[in-house]
Amino acid sequence: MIARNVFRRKGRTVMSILAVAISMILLISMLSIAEGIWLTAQEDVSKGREDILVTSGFIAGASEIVYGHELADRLRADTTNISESAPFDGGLLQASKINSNESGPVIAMGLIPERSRYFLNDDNEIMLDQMKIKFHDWFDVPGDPHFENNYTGPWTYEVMVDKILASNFGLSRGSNVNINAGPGLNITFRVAGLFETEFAEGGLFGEFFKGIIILHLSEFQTLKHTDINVIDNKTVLVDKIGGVTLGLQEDKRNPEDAAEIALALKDKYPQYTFWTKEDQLEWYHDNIVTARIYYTAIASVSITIGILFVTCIMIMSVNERKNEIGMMRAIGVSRKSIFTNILMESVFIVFLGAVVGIIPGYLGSVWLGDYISDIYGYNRTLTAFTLPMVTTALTQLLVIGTLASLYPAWKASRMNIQSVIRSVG
Amino acid sequence: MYPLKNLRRRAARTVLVVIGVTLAITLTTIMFAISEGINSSTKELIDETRIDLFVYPKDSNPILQEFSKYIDLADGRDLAGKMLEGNPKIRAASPWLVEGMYISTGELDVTYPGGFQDDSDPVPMVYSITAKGYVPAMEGDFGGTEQVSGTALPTKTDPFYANGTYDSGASSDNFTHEILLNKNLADRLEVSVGDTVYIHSVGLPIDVNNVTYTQWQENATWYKVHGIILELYEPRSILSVTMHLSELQYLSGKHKVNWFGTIRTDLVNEIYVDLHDPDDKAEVKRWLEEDFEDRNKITVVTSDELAAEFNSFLDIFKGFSNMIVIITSCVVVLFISTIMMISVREQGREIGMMRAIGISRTTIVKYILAESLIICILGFIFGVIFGFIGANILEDIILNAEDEIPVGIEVTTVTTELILQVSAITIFIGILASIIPAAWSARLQPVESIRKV
Repeated sequence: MIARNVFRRKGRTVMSILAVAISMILLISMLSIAEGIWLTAQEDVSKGREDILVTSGFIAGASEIVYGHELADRLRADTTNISESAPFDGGLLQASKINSNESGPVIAMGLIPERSRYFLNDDNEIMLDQMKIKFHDWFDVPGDPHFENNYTGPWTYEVMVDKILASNFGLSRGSNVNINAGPGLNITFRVAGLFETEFAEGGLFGEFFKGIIILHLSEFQTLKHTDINVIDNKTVLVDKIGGVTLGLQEDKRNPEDAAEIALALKDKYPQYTFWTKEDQLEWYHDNIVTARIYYTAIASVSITIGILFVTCIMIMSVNERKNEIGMMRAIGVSRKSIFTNILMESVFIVFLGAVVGIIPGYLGSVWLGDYISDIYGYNRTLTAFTLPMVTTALTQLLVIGTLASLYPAWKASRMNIQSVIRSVG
Repeated sequence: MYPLKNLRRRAARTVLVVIGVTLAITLTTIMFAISEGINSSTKELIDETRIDLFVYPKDSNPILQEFSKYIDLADGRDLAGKMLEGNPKIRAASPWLVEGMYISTGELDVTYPGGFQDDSDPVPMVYSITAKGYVPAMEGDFGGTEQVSGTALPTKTDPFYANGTYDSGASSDNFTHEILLNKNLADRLEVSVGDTVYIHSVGLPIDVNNVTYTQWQENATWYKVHGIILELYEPRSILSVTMHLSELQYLSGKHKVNWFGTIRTDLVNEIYVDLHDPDDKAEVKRWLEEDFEDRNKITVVTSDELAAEFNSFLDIFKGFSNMIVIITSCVVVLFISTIMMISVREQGREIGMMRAIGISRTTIVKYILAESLIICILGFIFGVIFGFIGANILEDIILNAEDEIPVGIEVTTVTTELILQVSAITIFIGILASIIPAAWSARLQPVESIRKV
């Protein structure tokens, strides 16, 4: 009955469905961005072996922990709770191709191989400075010898390079690459192996960087000039790092123990921030909630227009069917039935539009994911299409649609039988 | 008049369609206002600094260098001097160094045990800051800084440099101890002009996160606050100080660095160049890149190129907002078009009569087009008003929530050009939406329509 009524005026119904469907496509595409970021973060954090992340303040961008090696050793000394600690740092350096003028900025990171190796998961991946890195090879020298005696120890000259830099400079395991921190100051490093991240050639990444490199921590610090300072011929230690990754003992690798250990560490070292996996997820979640509100607000404008469209069509439909409604009322159909019928017709159009929009919405989210990945130079799809997301979008549309349909339904149910029948005559 | 009367006859549907158009135009205005705001204020901000050329270390990316200062130029003063001497079109060349430092008022206001030293000595509150060093006498006619109180650095030269000797360290008579604080930092420290603050380099033998008072006093360098300033290009959250170049170089160890056996002195991050005539930017850039004797050490970027680089980030947002505007416009076109179609059908007999009494097809089409445009114009007027209000509200929200945005940046701006753009979109929507109903009405046969009467 409802479907028959709706499709009595095919043209307008199809147009209304189309408008709602377009709004649904936009809503799903927008929600898929927030959903994609959230799922990526969830997967990375939960899959990683990094139980607690120690930073100076913020989760990213902070690089103000001094005496980094010492801090990592102190944290590892707590063998009851902590199984391994790995200090790391990140920043920018310049790399140049041997015997060539080609050079440019690279994202550079420093770690201690024997300490970070513990955190490799089954897929040979670690999370370093919020970046997922998949190693194909590993350093030959496990320790950080240059750190000894205030950074006077021997250099390993080992560097791991990502596939993008390897492709840009034609590098492979065993070949050489220059790392420089200023014009004319080149140091030749030997490529110990390759790794890959989620960055791809091209996009914004390619516009700014030649690739990514990983060095032994102390060698990276010396290149960055964050190792020592010499003032008035007095050498003083700086040992600045970005953070320390902690792995808990096997029996403590659960959210409750991790939270308790992080709290105890915070008491002992109030100047640092200790992020358990739960804390990291909460941080992501808080940021994603903001993003979701923003994207939903944008899509809501289109949805509101689509729903207004349906309301308008229903009002016109009610006006056109004045006689019919009057007759129905005259033969004893209750106001409630009229109200329900009109409401259901309206909701039916919204529902159909929403359902029609799901598949194009999926295609839209895939396209948007590719678009964003291409722009940023990222290999991973940054949008996700999930059942809960579709259900949320569908529910949102139906709730708004139902609310907007109340007026035409109410208008139809309040029609005066006498005046309607009189107008028939 | 006929189209207006027609719209009034169907007031309810007209109001709903106008609301739909208003919403779409509001969204379009806000989206465009964000692009326009960031775009124009970035350009204005760079123009306001009146720096014509930015000179960075060779091969560094200007955007990365602006954010990270990841490589240094050695012999900064010497390089700047050679530029000035080598090209009469250059009015000034000013070397700058930016470094991370720590500051405190020296007052003991925090007590906590823990950290590496297990003592419970009272400690001063230490803030991490960005310190900038320059030589006032080498500055050009640069802007972008507002003096909130006090003066600029009183000593215009950089006496502590003393021909590159940096003699006697911070205890030297040449060490001016003059400093300017940005307003944010002055407010945070609750200090004003004439007060003393203590600056500390990260590279001294203490843990700045857990410093005792005695250690702090032994290693910190005192400075007298001469002025409080507001730097328009700095993020709202940043805590920064400005001092003499040589003093910052000394505190950060950048006065003399033994770099793998090569002694590098007088390190700076960049050199700002001021020209007598800004129109000579391209010519002086070419000279610096091709004829300047130290051309192999530097990368040169004009202020226009830097603004364009920053704005290239905006293209992503523009692509995204254009997509949203197009989708929303499609929904509105469908909306207006369908409602107009229904109206034309309802008016079939009326249109038939009009045709029968000699009114031409073109006139009927004009009526339909006029109805559609009236709806769009009403939506445009309300949409621009709400868009303007919405953009201002959004600006307040973003500025409250995001403190990394520079002081001088306006997040949203509604300009006449923007309103013209939105009006063009509105007219386009109006015309597009009226095509099918107009074609339909033109097809109506007078005889057939009258027969229905």
